[in-house]
Amino acid sequence: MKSVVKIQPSPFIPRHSRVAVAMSGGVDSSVAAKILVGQGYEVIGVTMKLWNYDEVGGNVDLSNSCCSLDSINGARMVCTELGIPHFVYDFSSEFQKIVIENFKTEYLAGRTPNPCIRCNTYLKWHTLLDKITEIDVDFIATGHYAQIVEKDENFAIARAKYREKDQSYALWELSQENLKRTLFPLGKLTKPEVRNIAKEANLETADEPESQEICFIPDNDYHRFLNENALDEMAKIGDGKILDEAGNELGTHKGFPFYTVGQRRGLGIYDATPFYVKKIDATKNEIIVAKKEAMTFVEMKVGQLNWMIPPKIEEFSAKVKIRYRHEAVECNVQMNEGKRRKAKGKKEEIASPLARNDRNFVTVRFAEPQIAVAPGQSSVFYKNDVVLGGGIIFD
Amino acid sequence: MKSKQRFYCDHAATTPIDEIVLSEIARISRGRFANPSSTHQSGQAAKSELEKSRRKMAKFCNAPNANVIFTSGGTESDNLAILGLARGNRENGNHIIISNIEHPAVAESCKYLENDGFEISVLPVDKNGILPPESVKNAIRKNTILISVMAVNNELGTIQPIEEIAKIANGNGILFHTDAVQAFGKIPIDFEKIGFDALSISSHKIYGPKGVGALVLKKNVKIQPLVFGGKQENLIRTGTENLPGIVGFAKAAELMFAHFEFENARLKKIENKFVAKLSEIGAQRTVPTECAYPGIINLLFPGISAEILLQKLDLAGVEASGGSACSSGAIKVSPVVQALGIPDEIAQSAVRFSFGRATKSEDISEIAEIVTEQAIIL
Repeated sequence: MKSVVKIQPSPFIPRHSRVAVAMSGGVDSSVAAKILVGQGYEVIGVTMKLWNYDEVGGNVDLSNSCCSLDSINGARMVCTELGIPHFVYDFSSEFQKIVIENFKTEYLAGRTPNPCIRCNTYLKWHTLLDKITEIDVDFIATGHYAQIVEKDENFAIARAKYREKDQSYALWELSQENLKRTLFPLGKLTKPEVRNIAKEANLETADEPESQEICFIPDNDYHRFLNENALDEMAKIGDGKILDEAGNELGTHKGFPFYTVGQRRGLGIYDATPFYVKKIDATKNEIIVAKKEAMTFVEMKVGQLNWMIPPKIEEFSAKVKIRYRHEAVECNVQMNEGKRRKAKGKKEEIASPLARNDRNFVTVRFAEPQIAVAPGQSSVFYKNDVVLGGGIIFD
Repeated sequence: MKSKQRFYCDHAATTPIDEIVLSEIARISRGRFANPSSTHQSGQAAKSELEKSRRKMAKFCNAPNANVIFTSGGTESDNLAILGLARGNRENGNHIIISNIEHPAVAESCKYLENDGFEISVLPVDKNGILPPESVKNAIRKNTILISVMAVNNELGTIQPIEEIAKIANGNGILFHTDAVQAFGKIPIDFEKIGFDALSISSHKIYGPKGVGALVLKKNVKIQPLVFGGKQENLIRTGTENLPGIVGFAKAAELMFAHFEFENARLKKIENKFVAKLSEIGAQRTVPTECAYPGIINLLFPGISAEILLQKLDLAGVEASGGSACSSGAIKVSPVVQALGIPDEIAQSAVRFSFGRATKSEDISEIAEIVTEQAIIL
């Protein structure tokens, strides 16, 4: 891991290749399609219909929400403007099974999931990729701000040139097979440049607002979502105790799934300085809170690993990012003495990290203690802006 | 990108507009823009065109004693027939009979009426996609007021025994409606002889403009309007008339009937050639050829997903359709093909090719070749 990773262009791709662009109806994927058309590929726009917005609730304006009819039509209009075909795939049952159900079970187990990463891994780069392979598509492209580099015959995700929008974190779970067939046309562009391209080309989606974080919770109210979609489970869980780290009872909470590690608001405890959620004990339905100065963690354990560049040594230093909006920090990664899991296409349904063979994990020691290390969140390791791999925090 | 030749094989969805019709629309739009309800000379000239078109349409349906009510298209005509006749004749009963392969414009209207206290019998078609007249007879109750069976099914092309069903309806004093959107101009429709009470037809399926249709309605049949406001169309369908569309519709119908036999014979040849070629790779007709109108060919490609095949065909330049596309554009297994008793794993391979004037006879070998190629390498 000492060598400097040279950022190279993605593998040579014949210009006559057929490329499918996953289009959400947003400006990024629209411009990605436009760029590829300009480069001379045979481009097809594809849109996944992932959920029915009348079924997930949340009575809000859905116009900027991915998968609404409006955004599917937006993608279609751009494809027509670009003179390329556009196909819609209904994956709503797969999405329900793989992403929405998992979102519920993770919260109900006291963890904080990353549904978008799961959607990338299981839907975009699996279900969709399989589907478009059937229509002889060679490559999948998306509007992600990320790059692909090649190092020692391995492909890996690298950070986007435009740091503010870098989405490499959400792509750690892609396999080598996935990466070989992936193009990120926006990897070297800035968001203002992308908006400009869209405006100059007068693309229908040029002025689309940024999409919100979780597409199937358009009102951003995951409490409401759990109340409506996990009614029985939430009723069973009921109220619980809020404790400090010494075990003193400070108040009651409305059921642990409504809380995430690092949360400050809504605890209902009044003190000179605020309390934060430090830990969630799902088995006892208890929330353990602490003051800001006691919120830090020096160490975490990460399982369900996927390495893009498999480590050759048992212990190494890297940078780690522990949630989407987190500035990667220095850390020491200790491989566990058991088997390493190599990067490979993930077809099997993965059990929770806790149920996995515990030998397959890494212990991460932060150079500086970190706040809000939330089990269930993805943890991604970087070296010189290249994603080495990632996993899911379980302790 | 290379631009491939594209073959439009989706005439049952809609048809390319005829050039003569287009110039007729332009003529009326420019020269007869006045409101047909206006009493001045320009208005009366427009009114004359409107009435001329109405008479033409009545003639093409052989309905000299019927009202031709112009609407916004097939769906509105069907809605008006089902909702309007049911509500207008409620004092006589509340039971309606339809088949299980009716167009959603009929089926959904009936579903809506169920909430209003109507009872709907949805009769299954047989494995050939035909509704046995016997089953209609057996479904009749004392309170049956309306029977609605389509003439040609839009997905299968099956021609329904409407003449026999009409006899049953007439004999029992029950109103009979037919959705003839796919049939008008393609198979003989004789309003008087068959004994319709109401007949839905549409312009854009016969190389006319979109957004125009008609409900041909027997005189003195009670019907409730859906649209209120003016005095047009005998108060049954008010609102300023779409005169350019209506005149274009009448012109399109005129041209359709002028080439009726010639075009059907040509389509029959195309069908034979196309199906023979594709049967070599194991494609099967969803319904027997003798049950269907030759312009609509529904084929099963066992072991293949229609969704994928349609996309591959599209990429290769052949535009066909399958099942019913939902509003998002995603393709689902067709309920109409399922209604034949075909298991889902085969029903999901059904593709509809519908040929018409845009299909040149000399192109059919190439179209069949492309389909063969795309289906084989699937």
